Amino acid sequence: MKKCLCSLATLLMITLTISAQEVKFEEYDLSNGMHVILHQDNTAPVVTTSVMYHVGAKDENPERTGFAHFFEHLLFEGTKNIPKGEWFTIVTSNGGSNNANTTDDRTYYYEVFPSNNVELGLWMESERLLHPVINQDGVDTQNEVVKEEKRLRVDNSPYGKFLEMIKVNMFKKHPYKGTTIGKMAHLDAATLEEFQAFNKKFYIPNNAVLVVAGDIDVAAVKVMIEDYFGPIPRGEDIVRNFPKEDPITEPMRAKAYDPNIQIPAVMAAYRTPSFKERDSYVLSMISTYLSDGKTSKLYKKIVDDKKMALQVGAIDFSQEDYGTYILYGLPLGDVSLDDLVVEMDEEIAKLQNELISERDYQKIQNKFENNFVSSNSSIEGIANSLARYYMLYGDVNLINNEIDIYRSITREEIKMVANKYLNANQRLVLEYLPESDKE
Amino acid sequence: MKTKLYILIAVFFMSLGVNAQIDRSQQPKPGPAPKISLEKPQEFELKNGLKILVVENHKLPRVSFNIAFDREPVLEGEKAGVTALLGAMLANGTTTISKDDFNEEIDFLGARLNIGFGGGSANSLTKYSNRMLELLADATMNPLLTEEEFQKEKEKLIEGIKSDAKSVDAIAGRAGGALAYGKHHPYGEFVTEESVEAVTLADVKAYFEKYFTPNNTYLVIIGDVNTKSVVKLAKKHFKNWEKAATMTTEIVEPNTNPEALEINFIDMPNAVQSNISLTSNVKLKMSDPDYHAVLIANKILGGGFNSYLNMNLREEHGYTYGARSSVGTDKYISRFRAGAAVRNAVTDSAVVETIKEIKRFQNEPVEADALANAKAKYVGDFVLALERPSTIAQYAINTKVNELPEDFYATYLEKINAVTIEDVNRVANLYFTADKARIVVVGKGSEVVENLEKTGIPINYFDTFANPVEKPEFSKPIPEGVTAATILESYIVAILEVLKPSMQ
Repeated sequence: MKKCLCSLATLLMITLTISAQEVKFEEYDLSNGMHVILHQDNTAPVVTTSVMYHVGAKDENPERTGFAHFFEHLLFEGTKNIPKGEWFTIVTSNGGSNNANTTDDRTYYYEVFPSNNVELGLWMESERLLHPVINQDGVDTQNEVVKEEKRLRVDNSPYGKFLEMIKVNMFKKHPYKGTTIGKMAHLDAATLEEFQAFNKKFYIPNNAVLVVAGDIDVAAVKVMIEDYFGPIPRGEDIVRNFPKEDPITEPMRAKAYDPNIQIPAVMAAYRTPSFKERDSYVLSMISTYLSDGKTSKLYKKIVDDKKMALQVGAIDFSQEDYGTYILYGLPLGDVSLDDLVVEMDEEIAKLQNELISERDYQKIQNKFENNFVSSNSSIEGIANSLARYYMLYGDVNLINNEIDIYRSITREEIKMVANKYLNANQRLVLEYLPESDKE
Repeated sequence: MKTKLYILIAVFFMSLGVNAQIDRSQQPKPGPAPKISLEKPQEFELKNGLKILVVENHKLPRVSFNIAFDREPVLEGEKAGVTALLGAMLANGTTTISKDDFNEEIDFLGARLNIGFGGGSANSLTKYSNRMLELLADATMNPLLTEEEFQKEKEKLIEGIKSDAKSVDAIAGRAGGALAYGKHHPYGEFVTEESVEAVTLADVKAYFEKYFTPNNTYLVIIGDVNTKSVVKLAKKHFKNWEKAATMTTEIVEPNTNPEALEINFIDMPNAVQSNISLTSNVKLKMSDPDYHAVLIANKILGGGFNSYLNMNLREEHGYTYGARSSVGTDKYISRFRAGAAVRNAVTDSAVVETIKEIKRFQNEPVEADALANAKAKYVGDFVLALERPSTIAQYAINTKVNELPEDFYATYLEKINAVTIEDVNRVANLYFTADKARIVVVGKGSEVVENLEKTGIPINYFDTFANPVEKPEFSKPIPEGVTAATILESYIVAILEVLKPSMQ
């Protein structure tokens, strides 16, 4: 029975097929400077409302680190019209989910609701921006919670301090030298007035982008946006002037100890440019070449053939102002950390001296094409990408044409970029050791 | 249209008319409830028993194939690790394609293919999907299992065990299962260096022969496919997979819950947070009439941000980044758990507050608001899940594997909405407990045990492998003239001494 009917079903499906490859969007500014991006997709009755603020750990007073992330907690404490403790109840009691996250560059808040609650999402985000309640009670609660988050994610977590150790060694002037979670002593020392001033400076419409994506009626949503966000006063323009790093010209070495590990790790970290730069896209292709998949160069050689490592990889940790390119390995058995570095260097040297093969080049292109298709598979993900491309990359169209950048990168460019950034005198070698190795 | 079988479900949201002028002091009311439709996958079955489910979705030009085995729990016993080793060796070539050629082809297509003991998956763009299905079939039915790969994976698995040795969470997970179910129960056993050493390649091959069969196995195809042609292709590739004789496994009885509340303490001197997990075994199946009420009850107690546990431990006291409870469903046995990771200094208080909240939940009726909110959350999650094409395939598999009524998901929201305050109270006392439970605490003994003792709850001590030990000697405040480093050294030696007799 089922079989004979399925061709009918197939026909039906074909007529319904729409090519949703391209993410269509509309963008405009409110009079207070807030940027708005709308993306309509009615295939599922789901809507995401999100706001990205251009404030991250790098914007903090160096004596008050951790503020940006702290705000990500504080701004759930309540608003003039949302009592303390009610935020999450309102979201869940309307069938929604929500969360927020902070990086060195930006802070992002979002809700996902069944689509009949789009107005609720807009109201909540406008409340957060217009008049959050920032008082000592909320600060005290979140102070403890943030400390627990640090213990959970950093202090009690194997290899939890590796990024912190790399940053502190790689950056001497730029605020990227600190961690996003910040120093707990700074949070303890902060006064209520300092928190309020931070809010006044950064949580302003002209430092934010609002995205509404999913099953929406565009005209109706535009009216709601004007109603809820239009009256919020513009803030003073933010001037950013971060100190520039001097180039790294001498090899650096450092050691770090972690009580939660038994197997050491070695990391080689290189300074690279902002993710907005074309070279950063090239480096991203290089990390795919080196460590994505079982036939990637580092994995195939060091883990699979030579059996020298439990794990190896390349992390392209790129940020708005600089990037850090990290190669890492966990040795197997008696292999020394330096042996692993020698093996990794050999692969880098090949990249610098020879063009990668045509086949490997095509392989990387195929992987990026696959990733590109999957990157826009959820409304929540699309909302995040739209906000990120607008705020940090300055070009929302990247959501559709970033793939063209990768397609245009040549094998010669890959070789050139490897020579420009991945040299032994431009890097840090970090030995990340078990605490028990400490003398 | 019969095949599509749309089931329209009214979503239980209030709907009011159009808004007047906005008043931001008032929370906006929801618009009319969205209509949702619950599609069903197309189903087929091969002669060898393999069941094929197809969900066509043409939104993106990609396809995913998943193989899922529905097996009885597998007890590995003295050779614990054999399934992990088999899983690690799979998807590395087939009897007719060398490992290098196999991996190179998949990487070249920009695709992913993974197979573990529990199942496998392949994902790619539509244009490569036919080849990926062929590779997945070949690698699932005819894997290349060599001595060389075996030795390599063995070494990696042992290193992996070592690398977890100082991870509080890894130890809490391992010991928690072993203490709750028993080390000789499929759900409680764990892999050790010794058990991995005991495994041979022949064992791995025997496990493959025994467990990789088309009986009770599902192939789920989701994405940009034409059902008729993809099923034809799947039949071609899987028809020669030989059906095995049906197996009956005897399931070992799990540990019983303790008669009275007890703390099971495991010392980890490097811990800066204690991992607290109250655990008791429960029998709950998805097909049980109480299922929906238990979901709701757990949601209110510890299933979300605004739950009793999180509001107390995180929001009121700031002890933790998050406190949660959970209750599993299983054909045989599962667990009710409640806990959090908390800083050393408040370990005892967090234990006390956890117990207090569970008891309050059992003794006092929940507020109507809390019940309504928990229901709304389930309704919302149900709607949000429909965005993923995999959801309806998952529902179809759940229905079969858990022997659910055909209308289980069609009536799901109705049953969630029917749960009453009395139901919540009843199941809270039936499935949750703060009396006959173990509280497994993994933490830094020298900083937390003294206060834990003051709670009056009896404490039993275990090593990180869940073996009972005498109460360890916890280090005293540092005497004059002794540095922290030397204390640490001697402390580690002391701990090792304690562990020795129990290591097999």
